[in-house]
Amino acid sequence: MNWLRKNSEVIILPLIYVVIFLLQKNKILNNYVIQIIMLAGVNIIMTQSLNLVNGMTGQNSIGHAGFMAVGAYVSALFSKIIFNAAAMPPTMQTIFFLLATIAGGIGAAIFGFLIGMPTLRLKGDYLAIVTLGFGEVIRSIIRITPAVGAARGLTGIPKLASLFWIFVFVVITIYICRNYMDSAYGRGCLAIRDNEVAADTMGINTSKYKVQAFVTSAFIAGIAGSMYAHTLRYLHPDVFSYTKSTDFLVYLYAGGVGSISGSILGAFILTALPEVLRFMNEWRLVIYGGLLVIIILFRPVGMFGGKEFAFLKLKTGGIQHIGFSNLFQRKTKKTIVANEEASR
Amino acid sequence: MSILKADHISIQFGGLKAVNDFSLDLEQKELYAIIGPNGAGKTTVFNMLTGIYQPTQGSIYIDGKLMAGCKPYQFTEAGLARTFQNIRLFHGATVLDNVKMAHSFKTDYNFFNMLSRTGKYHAEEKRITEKSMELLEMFDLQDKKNFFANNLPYGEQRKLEIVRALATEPKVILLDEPAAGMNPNEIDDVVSLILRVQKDLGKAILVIEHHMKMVMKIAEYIKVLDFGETISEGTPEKVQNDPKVIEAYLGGHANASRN
Amino acid sequence: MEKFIQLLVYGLQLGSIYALLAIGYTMVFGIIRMINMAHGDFLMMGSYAVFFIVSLFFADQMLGPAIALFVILAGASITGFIGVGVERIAYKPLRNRPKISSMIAAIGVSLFTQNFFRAIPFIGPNPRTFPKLLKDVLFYVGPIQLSLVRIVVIILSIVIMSVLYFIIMKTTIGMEMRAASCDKDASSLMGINVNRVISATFFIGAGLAAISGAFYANNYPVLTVTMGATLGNKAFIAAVIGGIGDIRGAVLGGFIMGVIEIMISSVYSELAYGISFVVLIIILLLKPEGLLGKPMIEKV
Repeated sequence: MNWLRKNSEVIILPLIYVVIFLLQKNKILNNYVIQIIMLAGVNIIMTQSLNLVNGMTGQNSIGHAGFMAVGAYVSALFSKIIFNAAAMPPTMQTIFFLLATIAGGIGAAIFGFLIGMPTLRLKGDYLAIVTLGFGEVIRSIIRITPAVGAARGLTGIPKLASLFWIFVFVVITIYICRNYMDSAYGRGCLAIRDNEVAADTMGINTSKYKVQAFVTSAFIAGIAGSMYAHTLRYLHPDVFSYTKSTDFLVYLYAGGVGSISGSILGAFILTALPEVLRFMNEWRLVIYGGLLVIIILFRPVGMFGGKEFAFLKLKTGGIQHIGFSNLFQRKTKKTIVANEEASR
Repeated sequence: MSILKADHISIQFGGLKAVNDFSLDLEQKELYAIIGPNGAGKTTVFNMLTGIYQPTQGSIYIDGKLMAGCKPYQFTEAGLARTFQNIRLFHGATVLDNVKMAHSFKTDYNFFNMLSRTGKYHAEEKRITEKSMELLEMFDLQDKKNFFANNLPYGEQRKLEIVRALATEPKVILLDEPAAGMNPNEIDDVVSLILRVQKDLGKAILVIEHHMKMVMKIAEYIKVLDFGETISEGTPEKVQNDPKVIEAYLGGHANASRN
Repeated sequence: MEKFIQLLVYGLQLGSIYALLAIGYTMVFGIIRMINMAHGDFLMMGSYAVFFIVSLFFADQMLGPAIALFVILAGASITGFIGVGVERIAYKPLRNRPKISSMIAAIGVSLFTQNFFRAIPFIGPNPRTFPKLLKDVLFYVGPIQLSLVRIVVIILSIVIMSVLYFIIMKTTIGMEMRAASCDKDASSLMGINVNRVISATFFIGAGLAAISGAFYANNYPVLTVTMGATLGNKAFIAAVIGGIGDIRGAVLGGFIMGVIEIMISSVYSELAYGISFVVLIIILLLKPEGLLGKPMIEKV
């Protein structure tokens, strides 16, 4: 019982899934809403991935949709063109979906390595420019490759992703990022973010740590790409444009850069917001843009900057714990946060 | 056996020779100091000794190992740590994390242990936290372990930098103006701290300092730099009375009066 | 050979549009070290401003060169003031924050302006056709067919850039800009009104973006609210290729980008956009600070 109190996430996380699942079964949430929830899941994975680079390591990747595109197209190639997963029995489909997802992740990670290796050595904002360029180059390459549908787009990808699998991958991603941040690897990255010269003289091989984080991030982005491809069943190169990359940046910075919980909530809220504002027709994105500027102006650390859900049990960073596991835990963890605003 | 050895190192920036023919031989438990007027090239020497700049001539040995072409982190791996003139703490992290960060390169679990949190991970994290706390307790910072580094008072930030450098378990530690901007009381604290690091922990220390009283009190051997040249070296007594040193500090007047 | 020269003229014309736009990126970066992601939208606003001036006052008339120039400058100053306003409202409060914050704010501004323009009824989501400002005259130099308007655009751009260079190198405000880009704090201690300098920078940057928008729309006369995004990205690359922070670099980068793009699209148009990024990445790997940029050294 005591263990359960400390680890309430073991109950709460499945509970969240069961609730959404039951709402779907009983037609309280229609397919459209479920689709939005699934896309929000994909966006959460992407924002987590971006947080590893921009939040934890302090490097600026502004073309992350490129890695998502690689993941999406590689996994779609795998499940549609190389193996025709649509014609398989359900168990095999699941296996091939997972394989396709991993293939997508590895494909993206390879590109992450090729991009990160030469650029992360350089001091300054070159990663931003090169990732921006990478996203657009990938898009151009896809546009002229007939094997993946070129500029017409790739249709007929089997619908293998489900609410369940997206939920599983969101949870896995969150825990991977948590484990990363709360380790010597993550602390090395945080040190680089805070002061690269000092990190170097503290024995941290800065380029190695940066490349590791970047490749991990690209891998996760590739997984998000696979989820995306197998949810929407249609891929078009222009979907992964620079605008898509800025969406993830917006989720991350509005949510709270550096905070895992912030990136979860930012991605979820801002994916849902335009749908909630749908009644305002063409004004919804005006409000969205205005809101973003207001958030950045009045809360530069983001909505949940410097805060984490208590259930993540993050130790690094002196974070204020918020969240639902406090309900079950009599003692709340009190972390002295002398001045969380001044710290970031 | 010398811990840190610089063998006739020089560095040139464009046409400017910032440091010329600097040599140093530091052994265990020794405390050397580098002094000199502003712009004499002291911090440049430090930057060469820590791998931030590559000397254009000469070579550096740490614990007998030639460090040519090595990056700063390799210098640290070889057993050298430093502090900075303008404090460079990891400002977004807590005091404890600052010290734990310095342990990163000595961690004994791999990437997959970390992602899947195996027993090795937990054991190693526990070890790191305990060692970091030990260090913090040694320097009376344990009560502030959850403060953000940039919220510490100035003197304690300097202290934390030394603690963080010690966390890399160095054989030699380089202190760049540890007493800069401090009042006499605080300077006494710094002196006792440095002596503890030297005597109790047995580290070799190389220190840059402007505060002459302090240097004369702690240093066993002093090197004086001016315009990149080593103009004098020796025991504090010898250096203090060297007319060249007086000239460098006071300018042409000393020169005139001497002649 | 004739084809090559013709393409070169096209390339230089496109390049002058990129160069004018890239100057804005580079000046803003030089002074407040910020990548203004909304800069492309100044181009969009500028071309709409010119469009509205023409359709309100000179509907269905062919403009003479003098009036055309006047209209463009009027559009440019309107956009310039918008640029100053944007900086005051959205970027100024973030000046001492990490640079990425102001970049995110810029993304927000960009989202806001594009969708605002799309939402207000008299602009709307549908593309507008930009009026021809000048009657184009084709003429021949030997066997090569040239268009007068293209040549005028190139020359005019070069004139504008030279004037700008003169302003920056010889006038007081230019000197203040150069001082502020070296060290904002020190220059404010020297009695320079940094706020005024930054406003002037945004005014010039946005104004030049508007001029390049008018030139662009004169050739590709379809106005949409998102037209600034792609052009802005390319101009940004141009600025980086040339060495961001350096105006001559922006001009050089702009012309290189324009010529490369036209040359490649004459062979394979789908590739043009991607190749320009490949060029960028290659240049950055060989010379990270850009063609004319100076390497930055961090003092330890």
